[in-house]
Amino acid sequence: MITKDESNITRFTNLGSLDPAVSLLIDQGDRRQADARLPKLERSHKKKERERAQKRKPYRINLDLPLDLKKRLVTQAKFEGVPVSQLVAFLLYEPLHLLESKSISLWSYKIPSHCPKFECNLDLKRRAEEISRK
Amino acid sequence: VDLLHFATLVAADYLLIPTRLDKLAVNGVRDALQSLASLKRISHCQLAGILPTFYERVTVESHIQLTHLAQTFGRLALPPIPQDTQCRVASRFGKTLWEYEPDMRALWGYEAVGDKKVDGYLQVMKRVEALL
Repeated sequence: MITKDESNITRFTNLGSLDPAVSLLIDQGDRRQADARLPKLERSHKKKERERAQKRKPYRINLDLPLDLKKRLVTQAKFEGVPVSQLVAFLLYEPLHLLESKSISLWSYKIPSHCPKFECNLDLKRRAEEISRK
Repeated sequence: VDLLHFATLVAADYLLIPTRLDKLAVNGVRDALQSLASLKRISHCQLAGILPTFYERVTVESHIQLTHLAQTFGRLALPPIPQDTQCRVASRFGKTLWEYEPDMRALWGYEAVGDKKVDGYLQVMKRVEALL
């Protein structure tokens, strides 16, 4: 909102940023206009794709995985003919259950984190070496 | 601009400028801001926001003018009020929008993402309440 300083000069603050609602509406309008220029078939494909993505949203999570692990997951998923996300979900059930029931612990793998968001990081390198030795 | 208009600007604490989303109406916003600026020595009135009205999400002109307002005034451009025929009908019956049709689009806005509503009078009232 506009505020006035001591010298009674009108000063605009935060004018650079947009109201989130307005920003969202403008983005939607831009997208709608871009879609309107597409051929009819492509437009309906895009619409369906967007609806599907919207439905999938509650189940989605972004993960940063070590590159070799990612490659192995993709290879295995291709080999088994299943989606990568389903393969990951399948593989996660057991270790997650073990962790929740305190049968396994992360304690020995924890190293201090320099990021203020997390207390610790996990030593994934060590874990990978241990597993490869088995 | 008449004397009553100036007197209102002097007496008011905040000014909310409604505007249709077409070129001439948006030019009128600039005139209203000039009036406000010309009275700054005797008025404490502050700009609460610019309220785009009669927003039609399917017309290109509405979109262009909303983008123009947002780029020029940033956060001061409030979420728009959708075009809604029910508003005109409500005034014929002498009722407020809430009394006539509490579910009308002008109050609740368009569906933006999923079932999330981001525009309409209710969104604007939230921002005005926060200001007061």
